[in-house]
Amino acid sequence: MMNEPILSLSHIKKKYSSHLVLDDVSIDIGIGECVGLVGKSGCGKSTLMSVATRMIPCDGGSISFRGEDITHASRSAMMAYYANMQMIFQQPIDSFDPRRAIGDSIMEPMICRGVPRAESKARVIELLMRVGLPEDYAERYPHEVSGGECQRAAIARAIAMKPMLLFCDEITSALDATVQKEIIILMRELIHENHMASLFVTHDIALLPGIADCVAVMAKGRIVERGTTSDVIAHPKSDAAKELIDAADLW
Amino acid sequence: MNKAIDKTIIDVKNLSVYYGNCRVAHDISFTLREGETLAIVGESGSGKSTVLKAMMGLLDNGGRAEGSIKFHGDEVLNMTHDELKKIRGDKIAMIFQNAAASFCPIRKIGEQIAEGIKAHRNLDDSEIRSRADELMGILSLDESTWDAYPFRLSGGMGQRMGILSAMVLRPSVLLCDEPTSALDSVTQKAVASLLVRAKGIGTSLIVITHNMGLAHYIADNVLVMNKGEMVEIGSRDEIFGSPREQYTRRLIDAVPRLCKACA
Repeated sequence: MMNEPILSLSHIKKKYSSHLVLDDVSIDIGIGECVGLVGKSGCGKSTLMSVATRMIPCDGGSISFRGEDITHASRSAMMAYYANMQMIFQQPIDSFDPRRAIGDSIMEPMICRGVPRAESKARVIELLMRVGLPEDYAERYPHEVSGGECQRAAIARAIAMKPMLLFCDEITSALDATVQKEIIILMRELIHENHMASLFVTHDIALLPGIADCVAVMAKGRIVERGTTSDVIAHPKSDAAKELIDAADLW
Repeated sequence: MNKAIDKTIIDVKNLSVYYGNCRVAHDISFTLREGETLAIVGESGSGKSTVLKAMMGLLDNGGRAEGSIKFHGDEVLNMTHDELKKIRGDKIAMIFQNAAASFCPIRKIGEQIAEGIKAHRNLDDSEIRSRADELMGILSLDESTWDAYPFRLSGGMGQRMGILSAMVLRPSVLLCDEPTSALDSVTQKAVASLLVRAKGIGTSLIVITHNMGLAHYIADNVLVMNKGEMVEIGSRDEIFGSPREQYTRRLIDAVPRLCKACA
């Protein structure tokens, strides 16, 4: 049985011009639960994540976070929610300010929320070490680290405020398979350690058994199947799930 | 050796590539025979793409290659710019990671492909279109794609048009640099199947990839690279069945596999 939901999306609709990209999408994420959202490119996964985080408005439906309706919350009201709702993106280097040292970028969410500078600095070192980076990486700039290292730094930034909910949008797609595996293992540990809920968006269903408790399969703007990860993979019902599973077995 | 029975198309011996004093590939040797597929695998920065660029005479920013690269017995490293231009596209074609980005965004894709064909062959528009239509059928592309602008295409369609552009001159060798990395898993498999089909019509392939699953799916032989060095080379079954090096094992172990996960 699912834990009490931390995030509920109900009957979400989103259009780009006349094109309906999210068509009546409903999904709940329970406290401490990792939900894998999987589908082909263009099926609406990233749009759903952008709507869920209120980075873009929806054209119908409602979003509630910890039982509070945030569908139309103002930008300033959302800032308070973002302390508990963090995101990690596909291109780690693009998600950092190229002119600032990585440590400063990791520290920013803490400073913005009133954590004293000395305490924030100490926490940055602690976070870097937790994600497997040496402490001197705090002084490096994004272009001075590899893609995998930069993604580790992005993870450190995302968990800095110990959020209750983490959105991960194709966070391993731009990485080598070896680095991809390390990042998945790290994420699994961090999610369990911090009892965080997460929405893990990917096009590669083979990644999900390593991290997700349950899976929602998207196709053409709709969720076409959901279930526990092992059930969906062992007994897929929808054509979309079958196609994704077939494609994952290149070898 | 008797050329009639020697099916070697590309013979690379002791290839090293330098940028200034920095050696980015060292002592690379391999052979590609007719109809064969070689996968060059390794992590980002291992020097895979550099080897490919050296083979096409496309090293940038003062890159310098030493050793030998023979194409049908002719030394590529001694070729002039004009000689290289003649074989590029015509006899050896390349497919890039993000093929759609290699098209000019403000011109229709068909016009650009036709331009490449005319640079090498004296074909009229109807012959060009007939060749393209045949390939578009094989590649499951709608004929209207010919007149589309690159930005109108999805990643998978763009990649397939890149493959069409590379295959339309019926080259004997296709060099593919991470041909599926920018695609979702479903489209990845579709593109991988198309490359297998290209192999079926006698094209030899060199596929650069960090995806060991793709290498297993497509390759006859596999060359493993790390930090510019050759780690090992062998048949697909040797490399995947009994890898000699720890690094190769690490690459193989990193592949997420559903069958393992469900076991």
